[in-house]
Amino acid sequence: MSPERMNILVVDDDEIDTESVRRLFRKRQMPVNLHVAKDGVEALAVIRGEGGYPCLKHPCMLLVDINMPRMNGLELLEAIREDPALRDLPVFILTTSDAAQDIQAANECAVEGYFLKGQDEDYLMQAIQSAMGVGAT
Amino acid sequence: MFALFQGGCLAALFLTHLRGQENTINQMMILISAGSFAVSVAFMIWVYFQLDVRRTAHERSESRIREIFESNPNALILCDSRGRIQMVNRETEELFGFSREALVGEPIEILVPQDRRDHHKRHVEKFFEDPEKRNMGEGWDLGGRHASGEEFPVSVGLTPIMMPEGLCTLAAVIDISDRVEAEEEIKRSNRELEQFAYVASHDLKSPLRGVAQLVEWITEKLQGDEDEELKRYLELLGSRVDRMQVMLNSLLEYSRAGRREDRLEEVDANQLVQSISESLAPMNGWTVRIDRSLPVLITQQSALSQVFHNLIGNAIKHHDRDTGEIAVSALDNGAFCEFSVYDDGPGIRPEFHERIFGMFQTLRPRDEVEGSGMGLSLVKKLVEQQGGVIRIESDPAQARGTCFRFTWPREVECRRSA
Repeated sequence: MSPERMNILVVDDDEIDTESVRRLFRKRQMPVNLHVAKDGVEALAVIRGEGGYPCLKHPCMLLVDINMPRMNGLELLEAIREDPALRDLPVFILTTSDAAQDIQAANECAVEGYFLKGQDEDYLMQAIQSAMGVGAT
Repeated sequence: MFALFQGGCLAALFLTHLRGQENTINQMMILISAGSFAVSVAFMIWVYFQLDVRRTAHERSESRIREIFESNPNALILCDSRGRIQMVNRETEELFGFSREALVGEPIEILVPQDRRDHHKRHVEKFFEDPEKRNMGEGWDLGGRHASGEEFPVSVGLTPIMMPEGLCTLAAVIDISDRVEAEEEIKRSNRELEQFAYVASHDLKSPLRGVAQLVEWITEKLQGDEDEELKRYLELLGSRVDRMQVMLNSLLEYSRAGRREDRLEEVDANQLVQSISESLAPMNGWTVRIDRSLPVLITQQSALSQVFHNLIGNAIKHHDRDTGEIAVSALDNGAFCEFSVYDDGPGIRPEFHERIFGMFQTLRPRDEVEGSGMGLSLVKKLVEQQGGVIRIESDPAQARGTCFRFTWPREVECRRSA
């Protein structure tokens, strides 16, 4: 186990989806600190510690939905890759969109993985575990 | 000449008679000559009138033809073999905004949009190489050019005509702006509908997935609970959520069927049907007979595959026995191939033949047979998108079994460029 708990920022505007992610980690008894942002704008504020949010502690990674108000997941990704301080953050996409252009756009922004809600959760958890260095289940 | 001769004789006899040298012979001669003269004059008058009647008839018929040409609701343009305008009617003047004086003698390209003139010239040459009645440039958008420079879509029919000055073409031009506009409107409204169906089905999936999750979590929490009624309600809730998910997925698939731009490839229908049959009826009492005549097509594999998948799948799903036979065959129908999918199931009564192709239509309660009711409407859409037709043959009052027949183009590319 890593000496420090991994901080995972879930960026999703649907409370049930956020709860679903929380249950996934709980079920697997993975020691992580989960944080939630409702859209890209809030996510950037949390990562940068702006607007009254405490700065997201390292090590951290992002689990991002695509369709969200104000700033969607792809726009958030672009903003992260353009910021030298955030450029190397590991980002996973968890969305309902299986549109080819979304998958391509996400891959162009070097995401760790692209997963579909309701069907790819097991793969997502395996990918997160291996990224955390805990190893696959 | 004869009349003059007769007239001369008559005059001579008349003079003799005046001089008092009368006799019977002379009187007879006079009578004969006078009769001949009268006949000759009558003949000449008759000939004159005959010629006049004919000339009048000819003139009348010519003016009638001219009037038909002039008053034709199509713009009519007569061109010689060099593509020069010989004659136009009123409608041509009106449609193109040129006077006939400005058009006669000019090359026909004066009425063609600038960017299509070279192409048109080649087309004219080609027409005279093989002159026969035809519609001009079928398959491409033809345009006319108004004197003001404005362009408009036209449809043109060409007929070769032999005129005294040589072989000519009569072109009948119709302004089809209204038709093109109506077609565009239909296309736009179809696109909107498809977009609506796509967005609606896609966006409704997300909250529904949330409901499904909540049902799952509540069920987990209720484990060990004794309230059977509550469990039953939750089960029903879950099954309706599942059904709605199936319906939304089908709607999504249906709306996407019009958007797919899959590449064309060589598809061996025999192999395709074989693999679909194996996936749907894997050796459990179902026999799928595939006729060897199934052709190789150049088409979008996914579309054809979906059609066979739904038809064969339906044959199994709606069969009233645990075993049965399905037969797939094909007939050559020119540019199209007519496929038939036959099953020995219970059949479908004629009054339902139309309804089964409707969206979300099922003939049995959904609790008995799970299905979205979209299968056949998707099949119909896919077949019609290819320019084909689908029909059903079945009458349980006569015999068991249902046969779906549909046509599919042998080569999609050929059909499009034809």
